[in-house]
Amino acid sequence: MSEHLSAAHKADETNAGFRRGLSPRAERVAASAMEAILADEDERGNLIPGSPEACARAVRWLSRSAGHSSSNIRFGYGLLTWLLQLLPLFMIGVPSRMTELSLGDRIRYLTALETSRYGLLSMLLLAFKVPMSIVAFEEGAELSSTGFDRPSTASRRSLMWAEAPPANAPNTAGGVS
Amino acid sequence: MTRDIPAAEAIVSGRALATGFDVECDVAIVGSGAGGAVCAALLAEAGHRVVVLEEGPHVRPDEYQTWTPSMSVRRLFREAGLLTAMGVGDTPMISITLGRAVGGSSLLTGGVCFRIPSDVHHTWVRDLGLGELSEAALGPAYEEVERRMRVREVPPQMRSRSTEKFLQGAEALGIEMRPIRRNTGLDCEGNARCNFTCPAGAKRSVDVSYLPSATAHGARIVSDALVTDVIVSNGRAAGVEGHLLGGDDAARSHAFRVRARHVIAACGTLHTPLLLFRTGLGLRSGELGNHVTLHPAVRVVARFDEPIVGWDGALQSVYSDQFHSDGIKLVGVYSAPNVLAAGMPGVGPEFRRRVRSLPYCATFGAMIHDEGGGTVRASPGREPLLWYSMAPRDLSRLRKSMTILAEMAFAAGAREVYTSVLGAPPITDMDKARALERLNIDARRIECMAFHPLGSARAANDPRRGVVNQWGETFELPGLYVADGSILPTSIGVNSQVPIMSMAARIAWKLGERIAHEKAVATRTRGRALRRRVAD
Ligand SMILES: Cc1cc2nc3c(=O)[nH]c(=O)nc-3n(C[C@H](O)[C@H](O)[C@H](O)COP(=O)(O)OP(=O)(O)OC[C@H]3O[C@@H](n4cnc5c(N)ncnc54)[C@H](O)[C@@H]3O)c2cc1C
Ligand code: SF4
Repeated sequence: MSEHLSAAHKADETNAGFRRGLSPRAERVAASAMEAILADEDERGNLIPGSPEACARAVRWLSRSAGHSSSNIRFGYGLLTWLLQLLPLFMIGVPSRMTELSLGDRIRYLTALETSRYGLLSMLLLAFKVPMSIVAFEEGAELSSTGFDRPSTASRRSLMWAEAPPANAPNTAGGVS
Repeated sequence: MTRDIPAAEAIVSGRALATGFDVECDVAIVGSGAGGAVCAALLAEAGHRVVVLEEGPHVRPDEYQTWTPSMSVRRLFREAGLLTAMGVGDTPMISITLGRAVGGSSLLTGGVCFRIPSDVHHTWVRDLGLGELSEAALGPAYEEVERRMRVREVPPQMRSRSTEKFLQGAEALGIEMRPIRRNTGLDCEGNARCNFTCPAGAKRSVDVSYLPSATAHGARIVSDALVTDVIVSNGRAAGVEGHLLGGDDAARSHAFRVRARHVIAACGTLHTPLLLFRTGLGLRSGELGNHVTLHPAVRVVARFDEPIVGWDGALQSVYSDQFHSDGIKLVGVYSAPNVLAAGMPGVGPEFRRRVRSLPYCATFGAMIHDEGGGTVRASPGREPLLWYSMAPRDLSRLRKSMTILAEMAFAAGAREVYTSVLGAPPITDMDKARALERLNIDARRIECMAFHPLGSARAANDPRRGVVNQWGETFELPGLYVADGSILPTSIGVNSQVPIMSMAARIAWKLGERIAHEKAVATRTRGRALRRRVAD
């Protein structure tokens, strides 16, 4: 999976090491969910899965973060991936594990979790979607799709004034480039 | 174990040490966050020998300033930001963020600075009998903290267009907004990602505003040093013990001991109780680890027709106290674009479409002055377990907050509003915004965050009602002090960093005087003994 990592993430791993916190099975479940969460449509309206680079980056971050966290987190995510895998029957009536669902069914399943009237089911999706999407949308085409107009999420905003803004500076909307 | 900390630097990386240590000093401080850093600086400046032990790593500002948000989350946030308070009963699951590094949670703040409101001080004095914690008593501490942190009002030109939109809505609804004060001096460029560290180095977190003075005055700071026990001797605190965390996998490496007549626990609200429980405290009052308040917070995202590009501007720049009597504070807020994207609702193409609309979106938040139904206890692992049972009154306040925020958005011309209700379709008009307040939904569908856990080892004027006295010393173990968020006697309804630092400053000043007095007495006693020997 590491061949998909960006230079920034590779440098981070070189400096700080990699310790897996999710089992290979749990990583596969997280990747399959991410592929559906990041899925998009092409010009003809066909579904296309999330990019392998973004999914790999996101899953690796989650696994690594769990690896450097307490046993509570590792145990918790182990349990959550198991639930995520087993609930399609109850949510969309398809007797299959999540990883075996077609992309369309996976999107339907995860949407059903998110919109469920039982908050714990929505939270189940959120536990994967939010942390992994933070990583997915941090770089590359995914970052560009947010419309962010700086080269990276670590870049500084370029101001017209050199130091502190003068007291009569225009509103930020007009005062920045 | 060596008899000195075996490294020359003032801030020693514990993971790099090849051996443990056993040293002596006047004050051992556990935790280098907002409370611990203030105590370290003030006590070292007063001439006392200070050793600070910090479980998290030491990262220099010039390094962390270059990190992307996900790197900061993984390396500076406790549990990589994945910590949650388990909701009991009709309570949302609340995501909790804490710092774990030299500088603690101070590294991650939005820079917002408030003093404790007058009415809260008044309640402490009038209802809880805490005369030493009046507004006037804390005045000099507030001034000292704000001076060092360069607290300034955010100028209007640093407001983002996201904030401007909500200001417009507030004005239309007659809601008064005020400028926020922040610890960024005149240096904030408006990069709007303070919670993941400031790329401009504008934010005066305690690692730049306090700890350099501590080390310049001789304090030693050891990172990657987990304190597990307080040493007790002759019925009083006599130091701390623990072990270094070696390498990136944070496995235990060498043991250390710091012997000191005075110990300050400044591990933060969720971790100080763990240390105190292990020391056998909390049995007398039964109050340790209870009554934790969180300031649960929600936010809405509003989509407009015109571009907003909300990431250009200060992360937070205005607030409103209009709903103070309802326990609601409205606060302008933004975040890094990838973090905002992650919070958009939907899965697959629907999610991607909403992410693409981010340049047209503004966000605004609200925080609740909660009653406090949190309980923290040790778990089998290193991290605590936290339960939170939300008072029905506070749940109504959360709903009301979402309503007000959505109303402001529509009053400013928003097309649609995404609330904090998970998976709910966006609302599209004012009537639906108003209906939010009466919404009958599972509380766990409300996406909630908390940044200010407080009150797990409360200050009280009576050992039956709290864990520490008004000067931070534990009732049960002389010589053991607490100087962090856990001692706040009630929820305060405002961001907690300046309040904690100011409470810590008072504790450090008083303790500094006490140690100076003890030293003077010891010198006199030694002098007398010497003179007697000479006379003999
Ligand atoms: C994302 C975020 C945004 C925030 N924004 C704001 C804001 O804008 N304005 C504001 O006023 N407040 C804000 N806060 C809150 C503020 O940062 C905290 O209230 C304050 O820093 C708490 O101080 P503390 O001393 O209690 O704990 P902390 O600052 O959390 O410090 C505790 C330290 O102790 C260490 N520690 C714990 N246990 C041990 C042990 N056993 N051995 C050794 N070390 C240990 C921890 O690793 C940590 O570094 C924010 C907090 C967060 C997380
Ligand atoms: S708004 Fe930006 S420049 Fe200002 S303190 Fe936050 S991150 Fe730094």
